[in-house]
Amino acid sequence: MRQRNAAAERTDARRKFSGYKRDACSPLRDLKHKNGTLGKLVETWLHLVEDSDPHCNLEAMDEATSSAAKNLICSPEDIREFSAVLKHFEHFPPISGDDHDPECISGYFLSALINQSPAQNFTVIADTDSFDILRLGYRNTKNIIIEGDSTYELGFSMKSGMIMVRHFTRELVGCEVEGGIIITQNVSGPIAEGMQGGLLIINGDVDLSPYPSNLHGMRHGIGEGMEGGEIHIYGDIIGEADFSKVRGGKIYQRGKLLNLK
Amino acid sequence: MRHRERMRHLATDARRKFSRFKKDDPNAVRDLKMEEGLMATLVKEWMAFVNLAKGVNELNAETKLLHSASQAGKGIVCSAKDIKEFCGLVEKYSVAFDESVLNNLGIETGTGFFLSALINQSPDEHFVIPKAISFANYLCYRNTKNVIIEGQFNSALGAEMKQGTIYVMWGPGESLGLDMEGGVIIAAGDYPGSLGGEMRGGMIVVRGNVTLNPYDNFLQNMQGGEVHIYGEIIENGGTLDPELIEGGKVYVRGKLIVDK
Repeated sequence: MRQRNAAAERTDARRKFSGYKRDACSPLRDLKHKNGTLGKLVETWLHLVEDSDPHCNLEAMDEATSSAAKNLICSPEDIREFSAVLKHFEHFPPISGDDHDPECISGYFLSALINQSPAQNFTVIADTDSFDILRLGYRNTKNIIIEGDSTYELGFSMKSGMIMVRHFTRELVGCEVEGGIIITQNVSGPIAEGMQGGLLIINGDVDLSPYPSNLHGMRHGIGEGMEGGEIHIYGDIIGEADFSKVRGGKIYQRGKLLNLK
Repeated sequence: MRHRERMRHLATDARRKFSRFKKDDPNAVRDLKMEEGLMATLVKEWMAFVNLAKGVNELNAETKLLHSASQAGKGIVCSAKDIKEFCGLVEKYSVAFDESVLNNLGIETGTGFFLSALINQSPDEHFVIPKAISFANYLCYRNTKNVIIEGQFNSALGAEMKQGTIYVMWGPGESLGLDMEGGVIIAAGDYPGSLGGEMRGGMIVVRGNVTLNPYDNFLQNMQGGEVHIYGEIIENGGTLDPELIEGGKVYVRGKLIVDK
């Protein structure tokens, strides 16, 4: 009888709290059950996001991220798991707020972890909806496969190695690349601005249509300010491609050289 | 021993592969005189090497050929543009060989080794191999550069590869990344056949499905490196046998299925 009363009280208690949302901190609590490295990575990343200022310059952000990541030596499995976990924090303050910059922090942090890892091959899950990871593969020297749609400014200042995106890549892929290879399917927006070297293979279309060359006085095209390297496009170029500011390097479409300088 | 088995395996359907070539055309050799400078040198060296390679089916010729592969085109320095242009001439002049070359692996293997040597000793970093060279075996042998293969490949692409990246647009073939030591090979489409046999390092990525046919050398004696398959493994008489894998990692659709 006493047991039955206790069960009834528990049911009542549950009903009373049914109006409340689930605990927003659950991703953090869940992490305690996971291995130490992952917990440490998320903790460092959260501190970085909390301390970040969307108005500060990118160099300062890069410096802060590199210094925080300095002693974190990760395996490819740790990095893969960490990248997959980011999705669970999308609606967790301060990620969802406007006062911080999870996009740059995530890209710089993942890039720093990958570059300083002793391993060579990595897989990153880019599956976040509410924020895009910016500058993944920053100053890259390793081989990275990106599962999911990739991010803005992929492979910025890449030095060597390879980045392969399984699906679609957003604007400004391959900017200021110095070496290595980036391979992707369809891409959008301007690409390869200030490319210095390396190889960009696009096995799909380049969609420039959201960025007509005269939009707000901005010029957007393929290889603006490019000085070296090669771009091979094996699909169509949708929209107006502007090669007037290409200074060097080679741009091919289906084997045909487009910039005849 | 490994090479002998490989060569014997490659020889079996050589005749079928060459059924598309025309009969010996003596005019093609006459045309060679029209090529000038570097292209003429390349074609002559290639023809000499292919003639040497025609004995590849004879077991005693194997060591000689492998030695010659490292000497092929030695001293000829080509740019990526020269190599692409030369690939166009290969198809044109392949008709000049007699049947003793066309009916065995001479032209396939000789062309693959020769182009690989040219690429590796070039000062350039990025190369494009056009569709015309799809018949070559051992393309990117001991590769150290970045190569786009615009067509398909025949056999043993990236064998004993050391570094760099090979990107294959599409295509069947067999023995992808055989004895590979480092670097990355990316197959853009579906891939029927064997891959990663005796692989020791590096990474092979297949973006499509892998169909396993009977007797496919799929990851057999793999000792290291990583294989990522983003399609499905379709067992068409062949199977993925983890017992045959000695080391390395195999991922299918992002999931680690073999870790040794």
